[in-house]
Amino acid sequence: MSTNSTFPLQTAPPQEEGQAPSPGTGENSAGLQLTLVTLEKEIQQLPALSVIVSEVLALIDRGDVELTVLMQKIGQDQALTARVLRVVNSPFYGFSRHIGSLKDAGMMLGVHTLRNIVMAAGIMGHFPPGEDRDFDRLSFWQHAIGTGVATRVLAGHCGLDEETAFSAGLLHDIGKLVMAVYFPADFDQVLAWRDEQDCLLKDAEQAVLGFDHSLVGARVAQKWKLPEAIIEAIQHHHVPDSVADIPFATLVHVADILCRGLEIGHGGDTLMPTLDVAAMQRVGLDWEALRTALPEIEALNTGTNLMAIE
Amino acid sequence: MKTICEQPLDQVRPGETLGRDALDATGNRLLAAGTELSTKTLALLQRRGIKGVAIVRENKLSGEQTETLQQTFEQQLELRFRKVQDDPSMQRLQTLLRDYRLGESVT
Repeated sequence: MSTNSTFPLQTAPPQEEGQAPSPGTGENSAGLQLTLVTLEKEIQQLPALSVIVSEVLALIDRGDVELTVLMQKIGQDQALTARVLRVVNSPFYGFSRHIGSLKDAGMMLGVHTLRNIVMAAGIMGHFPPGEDRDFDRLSFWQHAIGTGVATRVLAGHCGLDEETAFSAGLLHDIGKLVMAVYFPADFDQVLAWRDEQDCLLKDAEQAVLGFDHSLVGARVAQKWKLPEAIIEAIQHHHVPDSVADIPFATLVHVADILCRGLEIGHGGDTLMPTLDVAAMQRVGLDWEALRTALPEIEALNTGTNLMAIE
Repeated sequence: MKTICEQPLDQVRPGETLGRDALDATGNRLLAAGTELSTKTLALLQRRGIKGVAIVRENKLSGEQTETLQQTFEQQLELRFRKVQDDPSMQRLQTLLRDYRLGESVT
């Protein structure tokens, strides 16, 4: 699988007629491609997920799909197949024997779990680890996977769906990756601001662009037709208090902070966002739950190697 | 030096000692701190869905090694928390992480 060359990096931003040169916040930035005005349109122009991933997700969502048809479809994409098997054999599912075929994987996991795995595998395959200037995709994915694992562990404590939790955690920062890959010039300005001010990446994004990766991520997730619970978690993971009834946003918020504290991967800055304790308590997590979650997260994360490609 | 550290249940061996009470999901005490674990009690914990417990471990590093390790980790935490030092919740989280990494000292 190749890295950057697969992605058409847009170098010349399309200029809207009669548009001011910098309709973002203006003060801190110049010549931005991505602004509140252009965001929707730019996101719509991004490449779709692979045809096979999209088809598999659509088949599952139709509701009457036969497992064998589904498996044949997944089997057409070798990289996707390898990733699905990797996830199936991760310690999440605790199968005592190695699952070597898609057919077995499908029988043992069922359609709901399979949907989440294909979605995760498809999106990770869309952005394989590679070199972006000043943005290390491998550490990004390590942080993302760690956060997925941590969100899953916390969901277990709260009795919430662990599959949705993993996907929400895994994809929470996808907006950062989208900006780094598709809007590199804008993202360079964000990174420069972050370094100058020694601030969180999201604060640098706010200062330069007027919005942050949670909005970009949510828009991309909508374009890719991800489930609503995941879109909402992506959009609100930095301010879970604003959405008291979206527990996954809160779980991801806490999970992200724990993974930063455990130094799992690199989420784009070396700081700590402030923990929203009120939101955390509302979903039923207390300090004792966090303490018992830490070793579970590390144990599960160590055994979860989703990035290596066979 | 003895420390208490959280361990996933599958990494705990018979003969090790509980550093804190083992509680079930609803907060009921299954085993008290100080209990020496046996194959039987470990199996009981597993049956009750316990995923990890706090264990008393003898720290095998020399005093000097431990100190270096502690300093490195303290520095890492301080760097990570540098902008939220004044927030009481973040102080609590920092302590939680430090105790998890270095183990609480047993006095």
